[in-house]
Amino acid sequence: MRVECIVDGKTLSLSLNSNKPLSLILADDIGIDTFSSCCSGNGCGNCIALVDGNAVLSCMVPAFEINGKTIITFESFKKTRNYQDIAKAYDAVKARPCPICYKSRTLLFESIIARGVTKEDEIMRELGTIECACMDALDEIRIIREAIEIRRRRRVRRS
Amino acid sequence: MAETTFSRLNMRYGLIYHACDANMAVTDMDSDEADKSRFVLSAETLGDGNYIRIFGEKIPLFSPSVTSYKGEAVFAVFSSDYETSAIARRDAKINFQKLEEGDKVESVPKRDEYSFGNMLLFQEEEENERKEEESTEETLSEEERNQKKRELKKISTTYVLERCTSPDFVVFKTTAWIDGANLHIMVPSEYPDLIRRNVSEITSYKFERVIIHPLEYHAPNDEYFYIPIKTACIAALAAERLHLPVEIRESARAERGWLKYDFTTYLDGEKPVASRISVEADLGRYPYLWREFQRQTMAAIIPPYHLEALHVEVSVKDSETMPSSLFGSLGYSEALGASEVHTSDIAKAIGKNPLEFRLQLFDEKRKFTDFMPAVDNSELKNITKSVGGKSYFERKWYSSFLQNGEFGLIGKLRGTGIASGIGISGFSTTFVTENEFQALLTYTQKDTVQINSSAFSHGTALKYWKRIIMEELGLESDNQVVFLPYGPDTKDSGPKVLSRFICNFSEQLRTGARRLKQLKESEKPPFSLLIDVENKFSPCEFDSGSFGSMVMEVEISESSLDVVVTRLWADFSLESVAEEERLMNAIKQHILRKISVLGAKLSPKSKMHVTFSHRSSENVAAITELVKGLTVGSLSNAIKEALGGREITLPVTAEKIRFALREKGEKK
Repeated sequence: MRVECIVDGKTLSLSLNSNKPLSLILADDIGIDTFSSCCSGNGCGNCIALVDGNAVLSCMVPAFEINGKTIITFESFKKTRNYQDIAKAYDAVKARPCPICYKSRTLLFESIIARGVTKEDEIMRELGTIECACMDALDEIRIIREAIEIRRRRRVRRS
Repeated sequence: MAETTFSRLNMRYGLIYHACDANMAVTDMDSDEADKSRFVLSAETLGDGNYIRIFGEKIPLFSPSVTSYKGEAVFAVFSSDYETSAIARRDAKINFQKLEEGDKVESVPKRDEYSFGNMLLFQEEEENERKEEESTEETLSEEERNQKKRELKKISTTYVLERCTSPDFVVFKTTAWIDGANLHIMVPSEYPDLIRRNVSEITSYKFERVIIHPLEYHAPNDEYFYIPIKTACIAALAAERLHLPVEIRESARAERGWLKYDFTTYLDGEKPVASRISVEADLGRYPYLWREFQRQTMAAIIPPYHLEALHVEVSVKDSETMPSSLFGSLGYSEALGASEVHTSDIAKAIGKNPLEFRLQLFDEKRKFTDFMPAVDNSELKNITKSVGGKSYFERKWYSSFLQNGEFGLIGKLRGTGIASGIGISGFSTTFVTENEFQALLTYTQKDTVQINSSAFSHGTALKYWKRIIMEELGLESDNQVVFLPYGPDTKDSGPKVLSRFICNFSEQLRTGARRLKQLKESEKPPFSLLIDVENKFSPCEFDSGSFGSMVMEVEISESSLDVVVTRLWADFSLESVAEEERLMNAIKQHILRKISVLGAKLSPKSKMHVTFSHRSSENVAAITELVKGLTVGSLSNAIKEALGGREITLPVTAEKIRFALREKGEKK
């Protein structure tokens, strides 16, 4: 099937099998090696991409689902100022994810921050998406709150 | 280093087909060879070139005729894109035939023993009788016979760690291409030289003509140890035969073998006088690092307190499972954890709390053995005391007696466990000597020093090494010391980051720099000097320098039977620390990962209190093995305490807890 989508700001028209997962589309057809996971839908959480701003497990999203959607991977996200906010929060809290889940966890934090989720229970529920046990839950919540604060201050300064 | 330039225009993309089970004879294989766009590599097409060597063990690239373990490579298929390769792999028609039990080849376990003192004095009565009949009449003196009459109490512990797999299944790519007379391979690997050696043996390219481009990787459980060597060889073979660039996509994973520890300790009153320890390990098919495993286990299992006699036996066998990789430690952490469980069992048997018992046991100096030097135990004693105090261990331990492993009105079981131990530095001296890890120092005509080795760690270590060279040779600028990146001329096959190298290499580098200074007076530059990364004449297998202690508190919920770590206190004493923040993150990550691998969970309310101190000496000691060992020990002790002393194998599951509780109920 023909799929039209925007990946990292580029408008693409791709001819794909309708059931091909987004993770393989990004790796094989678009050549983005931003994440590496082969859990084949078992939910390791290391293949997160932002689809219309929401963090999704790309190995669970079939090709027909991304038609007309905007996809952001870590490759383009790391060039934005929003990423800088999260990176500064890592430094402030003095805790950072391991290199395996760094990209996915950063995109997940971005999704939580951008949607304005601030309640601890809701944050905890979202954080469960990633299986990697390299971070303390309390540290993660502190990072999110710190990044929200950094972003708020940045926007106030700009205005 | 050669440039990593290759064209993707004619690239072939490969996938590997894995065996569905062990002991299956491949009777018929049709992978659609008629289609010329596909290329297949298998044991049949490779013939005698199907074998590689990893640390002396001969391992086939593809299953020769019978699959050795589930997940073994059967064939690799290459085509113009991954999708076509995946379809070819899916459509391959392979007939497997399960072998009969009688057709299997049983392997002989590999044993190693270490002992001191006369264990015959502490044998069980019935065993003594048998021994007496045979030879003890001649061997035991009158004095020893009187000693044998002491009333000894016997404490036994059996501790089992089941096989487990790394939680992260990470995909990596291996690329091979030919550039003129050179064969280039780009792969994430800890041992680039091992790949070069194997590739040069199975292809027509000489050792010098194989160029490895190591990729950055993160392997908390040593996922990139064994599989990349295989994929690099397969990619090299395909590139050589196709004369095209080749890329293979494969998942990196690690497995830890099945381990069983049997401890028997004889007590004279409250004092342990002798121990008999037996370790059985199943390291899967092709246990290529079994000698190192035995040495690491010995180093951890020999207790830090004084004993009159000790006998340790470590036997390694192989089975029809995936070859075990290092999994973050090659036996040291698990053995340390098991030993700590036994120490707590002894304390409980004589009615003392484990903290008090540990403090009482630690002598001023640890006994010198072939494996560990005579380390001063006073630091370990201080740390154990401090962690015990911070966590109110004694109060918590006594209060858990009230519950005694039965669900009460509160609907949960609680347990607190303690573990303390000494850290070792990386691999053993023997291993490093066997593998000839070396460095080449060159004094050039421009008055600069070039150092060529693969033992280079992060920037802080490089700065430190530069300082050593500058001090010894009287150089003024640090630009005069150049560390060459890994390339075709690199002199050893050591892993990129290993604390042992940092520790030992610093001393060796200082000696090498002094020798360069002498040569400078008599020789005309350029001149070179080849030094060993390791001091080959070290009296012990391992160096030690770090101490640690950990207390863990767990809760087992009545409804879900999940083991949740609620609080954790850990304190470490280290030799030198390069970056404190990075170290703290590393310690926390190792603890969290190990808890997760062992089947326990952390709740959002769980709290970790980790502290460390350092002596700012020149020595560097590894923290990984120690952190993991203490996590295993304290978690096992805490779970055992929560279950009222019932034996349970790790990784823990709800089913195992239910079974343990039911079993106790039935006995009542």
